[in-house]
Amino acid sequence: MTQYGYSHWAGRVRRPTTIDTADAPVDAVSARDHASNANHYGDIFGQVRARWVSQAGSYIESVNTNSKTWRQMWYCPTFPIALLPDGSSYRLRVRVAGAAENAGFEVRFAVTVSSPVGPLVSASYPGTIATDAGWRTGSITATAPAWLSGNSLGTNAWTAMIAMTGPEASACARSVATVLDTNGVPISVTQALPQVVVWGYDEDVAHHARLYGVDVEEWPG
Amino acid sequence: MSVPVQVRRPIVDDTRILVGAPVAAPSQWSDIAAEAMWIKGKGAQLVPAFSPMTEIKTTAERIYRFRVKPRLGALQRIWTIAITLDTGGTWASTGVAVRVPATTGPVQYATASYGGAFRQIRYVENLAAQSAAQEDISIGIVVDAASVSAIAHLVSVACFEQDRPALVENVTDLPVSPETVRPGEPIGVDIDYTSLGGVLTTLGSMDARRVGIFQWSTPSPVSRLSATPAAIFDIAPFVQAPKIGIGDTTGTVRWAVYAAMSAGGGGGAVSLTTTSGASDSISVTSSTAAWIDGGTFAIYCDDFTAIDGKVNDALALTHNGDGTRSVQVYAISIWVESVA
Repeated sequence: MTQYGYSHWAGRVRRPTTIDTADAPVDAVSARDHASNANHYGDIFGQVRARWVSQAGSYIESVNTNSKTWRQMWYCPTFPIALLPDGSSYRLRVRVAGAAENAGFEVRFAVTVSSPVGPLVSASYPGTIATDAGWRTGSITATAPAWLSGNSLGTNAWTAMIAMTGPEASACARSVATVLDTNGVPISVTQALPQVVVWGYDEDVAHHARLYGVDVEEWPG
Repeated sequence: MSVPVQVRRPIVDDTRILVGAPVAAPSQWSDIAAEAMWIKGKGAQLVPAFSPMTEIKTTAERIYRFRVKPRLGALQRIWTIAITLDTGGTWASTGVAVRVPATTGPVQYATASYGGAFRQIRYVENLAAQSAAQEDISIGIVVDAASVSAIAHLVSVACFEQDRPALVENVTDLPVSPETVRPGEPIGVDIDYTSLGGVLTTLGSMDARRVGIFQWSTPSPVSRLSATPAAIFDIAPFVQAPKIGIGDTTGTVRWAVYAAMSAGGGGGAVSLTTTSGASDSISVTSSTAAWIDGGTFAIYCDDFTAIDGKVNDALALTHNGDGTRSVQVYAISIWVESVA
């Protein structure tokens, strides 16, 4: 059975607290459990970066000004995404709940993760993006809200994930002022701060896409 | 003294730690130390970004409340708000005040003008002390009369703990220097923040919680008069707990609501059920809005046999009044208390 994540056991191994003290040597089995625990805790540390559903009777409607084009519908402010050793990002498990306003006119939805500034921004347009940093549904005509299926747009074609490659994540790198301790000693922290955007596509500008929920959660892969 | 935290997550090659072979200091113990440091230094998301789905039309302070259980290591919280303005709209230099906590916190003014794009407002909250105690947090947005006419759409609200670039050698941060487990360094367990003893202490103090599982808040409550429960949301969100033990299929979360009744003397409720079979209900009786604790409940946890780790545990939330008085729901918080 294939196992994902980076720990040996895919779970925490509880170690007795009475060992690993002075005069008790740490054997290889203990060391491997400690290593697996560290890896497992790194795996489960992925955070929920966005999660919402609309209050009953409400939704966000697309405001496209031209038919058959994509336009941003919802914006997740920048957050410090977790990075893997090769500089790529944790994957983001994505879900989008949506519907069409009119069953006679198709709509589509997309999700992208990208730098908020810089040359890669234009590359995140869902009509042309060709990396796994973008995810897109097929044609939606149902008018009842539902969680939607889609695929990432790179070679992985994940059904429920997007992620940034090392260069894509590097484009989000910023040095941000913070503090070292409770005394407020200034220091800076380097972070990859991407934005996540949900896009809507209308076949006809008079019939809108309706967004009912978004879910974006880090996952180590 | 402080110990740096790596920007990228270190990963230990644990498959190469074999019985009969020594545990390598430079590639194994030091990697364990660096990864434990990364977990302790990386901030958690307390409030996942959510959409208030509202326009700011009045000068009354809009207050968004959340109940959280922060991580001990945090020194700052970063609040982010995204807005758009209608055509021609402008927020002047002192027209819009953001404050944390709401009502009493230091004011930061936000400016914006119509440009068709989303505008991100960032508020830095410096914490007076490090604490992992459960806490009620809030953010307030006050718009003056001139700026109200700009018609701002509140797109999202979120809050995360700022990453730590370094941990301080003290009993709260409990760092370990990976350099002290390299070849040539003495092995010991009795010198603080160093060597094998330091690694094990740091490992034992990791808090790898996925803190915010679901957070929703509104300044204007959703209310229901009928005693028959009705859904608060149009569609059920999915929730997922971190997997802790090897054989676990569920994880435990806690919840609370900020709610009131329209008048005293009766009772309503906010209730939840999940695909995994959990159910719980919080009774609301007071006419004064306040946080009300729910219990803990189990939800499906990460599935490491699935490429995306996904489980589908839908969370249905309902509310009901008592037929005479309405229940008024202002906020719902669900969080992970422990992964120990």
